[in-house]
Amino acid sequence: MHRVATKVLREVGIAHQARDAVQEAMVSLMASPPDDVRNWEAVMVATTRRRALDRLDSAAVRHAGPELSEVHDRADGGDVSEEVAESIDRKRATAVVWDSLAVLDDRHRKVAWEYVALERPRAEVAADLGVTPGRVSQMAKRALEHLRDAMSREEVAYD
Amino acid sequence: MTKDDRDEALANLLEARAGHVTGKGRAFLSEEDHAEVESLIEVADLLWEAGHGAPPLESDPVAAMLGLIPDPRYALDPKALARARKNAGLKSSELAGRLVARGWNVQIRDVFRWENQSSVDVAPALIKAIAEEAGTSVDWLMASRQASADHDAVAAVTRSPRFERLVERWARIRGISRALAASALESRMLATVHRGDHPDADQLLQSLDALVTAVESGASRDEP
Repeated sequence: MHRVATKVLREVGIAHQARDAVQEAMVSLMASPPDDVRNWEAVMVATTRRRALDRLDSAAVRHAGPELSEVHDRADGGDVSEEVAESIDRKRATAVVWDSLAVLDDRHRKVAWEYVALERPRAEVAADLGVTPGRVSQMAKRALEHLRDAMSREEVAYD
Repeated sequence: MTKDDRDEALANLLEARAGHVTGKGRAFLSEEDHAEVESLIEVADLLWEAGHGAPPLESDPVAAMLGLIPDPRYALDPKALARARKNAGLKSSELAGRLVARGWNVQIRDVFRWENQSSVDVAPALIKAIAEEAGTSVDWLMASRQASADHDAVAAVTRSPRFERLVERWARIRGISRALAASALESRMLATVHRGDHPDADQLLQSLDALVTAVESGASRDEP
């Protein structure tokens, strides 16, 4: 649920609001539990996505005024089953990339995790490692290549 | 494009962050390089998502609200658990199996450990499930430990009559005991504090009140 919310909210740079969107989704489900639920995961993913889109719309309205009805229409659009399937695929893929971090040496793992995953400023990571910011970018590229290759091998193993 | 140009283009794309790339940098890429960069950006996106998952349990207000954060002040009583299980005619393996059927990740050795070693890691919601499977009450299974709250504002809130009223309302709408309700609301406050905020007692109470009212209003709408 957090990943779904974070992914939606990242579009406008408000990923830090993901926890609030998840909490709103859970409160709304607790307040009015839907009937005849066949798949709670689907319901929770769909509700979280709608709450995140609501926040996205609020942010858009704050920045651009209230003339954004098209954006609101998105909240109820889309195929829920597709969203859930995509969410599960992404969850699996993020788990694989997390596992794949083990193939990197300590310094490249630090760059991949702190600079790419956590978005720590490049200059700070560079200072920690005693290298130039440009070198951090090179290390990030190398780390991503290794991760991509490791993930490809993992997919082959799954197949 | 030389290797250095390509590396520079990718560095620019990474610096701009995958979610906010405007096309600057990509315009200079060949079709082959474009595919290469796209594949790396995809890995970067996955890595970013891996770094932005659910917060740690102790700072997750949703987990607190659902009673999923173990509360040392309301821990499972090992002796009471053993008595309740035997009274219900359940073997340890049967109790574990019933909890697994409810979706809890519990093994037989966990039940042994709760009864003979340590049970402080059992969350209030799991204690409720155990009580239901053993046909007993939550209060009977819980050992109350009077640990002091580790935050002044939280301690001030839990002593207040307003908090007591919120506990009663939360217990009623969630269909749980007062002890479980108090534990859930306290855990939620601590999750807020662990998150890095520094709310005072009044702000904590207002936040809890808003939560309880929101769930309560939805529940009342559903009533015939």
